[in-house]
Amino acid sequence: MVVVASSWSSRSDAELLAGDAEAFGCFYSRHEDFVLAVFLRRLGGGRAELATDLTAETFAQALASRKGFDPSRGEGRAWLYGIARRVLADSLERGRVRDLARRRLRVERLALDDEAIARIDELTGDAALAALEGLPEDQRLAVRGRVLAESEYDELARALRCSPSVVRQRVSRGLRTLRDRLENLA
Amino acid sequence: MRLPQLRAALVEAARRQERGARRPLYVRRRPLVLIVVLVLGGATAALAASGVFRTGAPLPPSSTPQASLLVGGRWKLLSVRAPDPSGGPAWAIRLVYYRKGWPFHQATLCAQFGRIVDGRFGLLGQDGLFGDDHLFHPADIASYADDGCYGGIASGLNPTSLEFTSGSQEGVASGATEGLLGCSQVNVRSHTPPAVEALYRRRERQLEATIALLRAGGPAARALARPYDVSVAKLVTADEGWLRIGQAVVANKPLKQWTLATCPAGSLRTIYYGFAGPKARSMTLRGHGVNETERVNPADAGAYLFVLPGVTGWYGEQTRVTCLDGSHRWGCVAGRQPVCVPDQRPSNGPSQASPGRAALSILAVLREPPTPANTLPADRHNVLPSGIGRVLVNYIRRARTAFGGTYYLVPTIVTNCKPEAPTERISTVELFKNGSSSGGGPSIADIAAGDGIDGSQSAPIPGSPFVSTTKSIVEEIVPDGVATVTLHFPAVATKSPAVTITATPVNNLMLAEVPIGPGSRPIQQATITWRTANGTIIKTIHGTR
Repeated sequence: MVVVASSWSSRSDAELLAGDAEAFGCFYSRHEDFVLAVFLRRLGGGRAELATDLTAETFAQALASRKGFDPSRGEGRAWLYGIARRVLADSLERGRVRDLARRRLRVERLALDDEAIARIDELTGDAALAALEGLPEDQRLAVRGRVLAESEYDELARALRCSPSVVRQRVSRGLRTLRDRLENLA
Repeated sequence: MRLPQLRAALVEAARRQERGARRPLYVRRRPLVLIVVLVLGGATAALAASGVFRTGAPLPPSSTPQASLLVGGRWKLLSVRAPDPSGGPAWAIRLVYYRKGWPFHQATLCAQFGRIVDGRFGLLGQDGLFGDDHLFHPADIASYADDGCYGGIASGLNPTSLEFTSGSQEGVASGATEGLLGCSQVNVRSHTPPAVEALYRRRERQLEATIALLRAGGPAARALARPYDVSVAKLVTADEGWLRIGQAVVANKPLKQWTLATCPAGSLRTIYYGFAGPKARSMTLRGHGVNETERVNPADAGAYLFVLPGVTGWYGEQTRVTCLDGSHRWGCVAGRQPVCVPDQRPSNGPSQASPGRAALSILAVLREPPTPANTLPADRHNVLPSGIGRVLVNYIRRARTAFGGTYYLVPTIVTNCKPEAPTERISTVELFKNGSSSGGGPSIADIAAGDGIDGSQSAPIPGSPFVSTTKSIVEEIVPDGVATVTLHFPAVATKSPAVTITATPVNNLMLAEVPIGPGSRPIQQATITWRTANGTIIKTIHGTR
């Protein structure tokens, strides 16, 4: 008899939460970026370690209470968001990361290396900034002037001492390069 | 996946859950076994006592032990305890005598601040210290920082005059880690303004770049929005909002005034401590919404310790010590501290200045020339209000003698703990056969408005060391032109009927004897009517003020 392994990706959040330990691991993988991003958005860039601690507590609470997940009240992501919001509010109120569930479940606190921090920081938009800074100077100036400063092409042309059509071309090329680089990162 | 270690740890925790769920019923006996182990195991007693913090490794010895030398093991853990705003182990003060400097010639007394778990003094592994291990780390006496005060807060206390010692420290991390490795507060004004500005600018550029890419649209924009589970348009709106908020913050609050905390503000504490003297009973701290009183131990020189959340500006808080004899003395956190011992410190000093024009214009008694008869004898200047401002000694005037006492009006410039905003007040000093008292006094504006009234105090019984239990005296400083003052106290329930008393001010001071009665008669509930000599009503001040 041939046993075909079921594909985790095809299972719903409710099925994963009702499943075994490995199923919960899949649930974690599915929503890791979302939860990290929620915290990074609230905390701002450069807070990867804090966001990680909060994420760990959020999933620890999710693990501890997964049997109470009710799919009729919303998707897993909404449920997680509710937990994350409580974790953040509690932590802000207490002034430190609320990590009772993580400690109760004996989940070790993570020590992040530079590589892990960089992976998390990608969610903050640092990658976009780095990509922008990495453009050739003429394209970077054109993109910054047109897209960030919202200058008119004529105005930019005078500042950059070139014709408006050249500015348009540089902006177009710069944005295309940025898209390519970000898509490669993703 | 960005955090595979976390995934693995969670999966392992889930497996432990599954194993726990399959555990047979007989494990219910295990708690009994555990209880026995806890009772027998002295090492775990700390865990039971602290509730949260287990005991970890002790604080490591000083890196340069030769820099300081404990003097004969002299140290003392004071009995005062202060709760932490977030709960957990209480805070405490430990005094350490030590010598430093080659060859240990400089004797110093130092105050250290720490947390108490199971009677031991130490630090908590939080706020970045000890890798946030959430353990309690005892700070044994042999393990302290180079200067002997790892708190770094109060080195050099004078052991012979502890009662005059006080201080405050802002930005102490909640684990009592000031001066060590934990997070702390950095005052940007004096340290790193460029770093903060760079931090903000970087965040600003990051938002701008993100917005630009989102506006450009396409797969890149969708990739940026995907983790947040919102549309590109919504993310643009949100990011623009963040950008506007940040810019508004910077516009309204100069960067140079920013304070950068390397840990969340909620982890920071402000410590206020001191020694009120061996004759102190309790200490009160008021300000910033705080009104706390704690009993002090005379055996510890009246040591007090307040631990408040966040980083407060300590300018303007009032302190009050209550002495064993029941008397009160006021002081300021940022200035002179109240103590319950004869105060030989240089006072704010008498002032030779004259009262302001407003005071002189409404109080004729102050315009009277000084004479030996109407000034406070020099040998009684010890009863003047102290610690609250500067007494205008050339304008102390005897207002009247009544009810067995002599009443003086004392103009005082009071800083009210805020030297930048002094106010002029008229205090009263009462000299009785059996003692004296003095009050803070109303401001000139209060007097003009009719609020120059002082709550009733027990009337002395002439020729007796006792005070009356049936009568009290009400004082009011009134402006020129007030010939009579009528006080109407409404009835208090059925036991204490309404009372109306009319009194004649003398030298701008009205005194009235009010029956205490079975119910209280708060002066705030009295209606006060000022009349001229011909009976015309000048002003009616309605209670309850």
